[in-house]
Amino acid sequence: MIEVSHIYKRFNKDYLFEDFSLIFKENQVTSLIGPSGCGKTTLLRMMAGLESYESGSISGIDQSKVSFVFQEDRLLPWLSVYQNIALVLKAKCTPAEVGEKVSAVLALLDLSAASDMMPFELSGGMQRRVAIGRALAYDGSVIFLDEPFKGMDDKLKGEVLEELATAWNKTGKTVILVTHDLVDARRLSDTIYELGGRPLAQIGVLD
Amino acid sequence: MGEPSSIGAMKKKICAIMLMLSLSLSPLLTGCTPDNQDQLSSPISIGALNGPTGIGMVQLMESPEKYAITTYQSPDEVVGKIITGEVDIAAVPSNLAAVLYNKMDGGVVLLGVNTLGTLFIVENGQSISSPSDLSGKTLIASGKGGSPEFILNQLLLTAGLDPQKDLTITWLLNHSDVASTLMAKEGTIAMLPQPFTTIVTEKNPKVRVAVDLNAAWEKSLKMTLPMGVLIAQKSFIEERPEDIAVFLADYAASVDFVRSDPKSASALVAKYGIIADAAIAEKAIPGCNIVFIPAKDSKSDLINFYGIISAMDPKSVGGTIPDEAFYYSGTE
Amino acid sequence: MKPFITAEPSKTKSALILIFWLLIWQIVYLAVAKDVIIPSPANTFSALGQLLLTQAFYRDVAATMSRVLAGIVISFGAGLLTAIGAYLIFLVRDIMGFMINILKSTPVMAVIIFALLWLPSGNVPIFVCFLMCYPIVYTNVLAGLDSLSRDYIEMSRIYRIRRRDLIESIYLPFVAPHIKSALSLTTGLSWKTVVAAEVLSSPAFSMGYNLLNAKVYLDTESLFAWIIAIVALSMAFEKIVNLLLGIRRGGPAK
Repeated sequence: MIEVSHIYKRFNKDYLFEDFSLIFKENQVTSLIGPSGCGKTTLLRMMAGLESYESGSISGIDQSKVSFVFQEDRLLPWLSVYQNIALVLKAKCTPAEVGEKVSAVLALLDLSAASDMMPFELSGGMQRRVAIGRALAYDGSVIFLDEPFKGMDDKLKGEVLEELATAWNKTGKTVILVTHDLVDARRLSDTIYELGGRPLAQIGVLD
Repeated sequence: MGEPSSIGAMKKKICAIMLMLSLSLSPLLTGCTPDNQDQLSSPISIGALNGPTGIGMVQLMESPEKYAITTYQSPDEVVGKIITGEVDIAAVPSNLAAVLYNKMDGGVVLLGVNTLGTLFIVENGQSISSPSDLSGKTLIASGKGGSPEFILNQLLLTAGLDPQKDLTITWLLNHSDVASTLMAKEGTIAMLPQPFTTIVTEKNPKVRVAVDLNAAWEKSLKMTLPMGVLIAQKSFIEERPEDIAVFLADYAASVDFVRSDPKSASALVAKYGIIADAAIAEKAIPGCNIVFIPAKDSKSDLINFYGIISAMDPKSVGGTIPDEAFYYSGTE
Repeated sequence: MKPFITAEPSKTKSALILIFWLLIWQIVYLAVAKDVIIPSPANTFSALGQLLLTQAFYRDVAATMSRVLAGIVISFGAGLLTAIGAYLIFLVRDIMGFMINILKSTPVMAVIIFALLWLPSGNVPIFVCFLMCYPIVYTNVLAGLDSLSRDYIEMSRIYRIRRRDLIESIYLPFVAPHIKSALSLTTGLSWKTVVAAEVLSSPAFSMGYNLLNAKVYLDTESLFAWIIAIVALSMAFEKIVNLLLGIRRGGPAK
């Protein structure tokens, strides 16, 4: 179980988080939905260890073993699709293993044909898939996704959602994602938390 | 001492001409005054160096309406002004006068010698007492390409040293730089002319004169050392012969004045900024060897000198030794 | 509408352009009519030809070139190391920032006289070259490093990318263009500063010394001949360096 307890964090003079607490079940997909700018991304980043908070605690997450899919993808423009994913595996796998894992993930996300292509040659949706592939290949104990479907058209979204659902069902990972689209959240998630207000608070829970 | 007779004769001639002219123009003039013979048709621009040549002209500087005199730090600057025609008359190292004559197709004329040898080896230390002591040492100097370079080379050869191999000569851009390096750094050995020699020894007691190069030259070559000369644009000579005569007279007078009355001269030297301190100037003037030997009288020594240095390196005189036309012969 | 592409002129075109400028030179020479100010192309090239036959020419060229190389290596090496240090350590950045500002505003040529007090005249040009080129390398490399987006660094932290991979796969490809442009700039500038400094400090074996001599003896043919040699060598040197840099480029780095 992942516990976010009594988090306090200010943004300029106002409290973004004031005694905020939330619980996440492991080995399932949890979505956070709410209006943009309310602090969902900040919560995600704090849980991943990318941002600090003033007091409180976050337990149940090994922050040295998490994957993160950023809103901007953050693929390295001068590396190919293969190389981008391989980069995060180099530290913990032998070259042979790296090859296997990358191929597997590319196959899973239907990206095998693009293995040697450069990011700028790919569509926005494909780039996003590569970023997701990188996160999956890294195999962190928790996978965080920040608005992973933003900017995708429905058709593309449909395809990716299918692939992701399959991937996660297979692996049983803990997935926490932020999105503003309830329909997408419904399709993927086991639990949906609705967040809103300033300071941020949980408004409701679904599923 | 005193004016050479040819100039005196010229002066009388000029006065006669002026007298006739002024009489014919009498409605406009108040009559022939003794100063008429000193008038110029228009000012003359002169370039000199901030050393003996500038000092020698110091009395001329008192008549700025006649003479626009600028002193420069290094001979190349003066040489440049001659080429562009910015100055009518210039004081340059004797060998560079020959170079100019050759490179400008005879466009300059030598008026006379204005400096005899004033070169010294000066040291911030005690190790040098004759040219042969320079072996293996570093010498700083300035005025590359001018007479000092060849005088030095000649004396080194006489002392059995090869200027290229047996010592290191570093050429700086002007005498002031050499002087300041010499005073600042112990162990520096430099070649400097007057008045810089007196200036540095007065300012830094550790600096001493090690070798008198002119004495060495005269001893081994048995001739005087014509270091600096006065030249004029050939076009100027042809277009303004009377003005040249006036100038030569005034110049000779200035040189006389400086030689015979260094004290008053040093006041002017300080006034015009050639040497800031009048007392040091007064001490330096005798060593500067300022003279004026008209072209006619200095010709043979110059030809000798050119022969010696061009034998070492023809480039030193610009390829060939100048012919007769180089030497000013006065207006006939 | 086809975009107008400026390509390098063909070999024949370059030759024609060269001949054009030689004609201009000849015309100017005839117009000025003073050998001592502008020599004729013919005399200049014959002087150049004679120079190429002397051993002294190659000796002096070698001496100047070795100074240029030394200047480049020292400036580039120091610039690279201090820029990296400044990027990693705030204190270094603050200290160096102050130094660099001073160096940039120093009238370099005026420093030569003082340099001659402490260094043998052969090393003064290297020192001057360093004064001019080091700030450029430092500023360029540091700006390159600083411009690497924090986003990538954050990503590398989350995914625990090893320092080795961080440098190899993220920093190096990104900063390489900045480093290359710094090196290219330094190469061109080094030639100019070394030769100019040689004219002022006149070490016995140097191309600058020959420039000084030619000027002082009013030997304008030699002067122009030497200038042509200097320009030609400088351009060839830069071309070689750029070629090497181009070859070193691994993949399609930006």
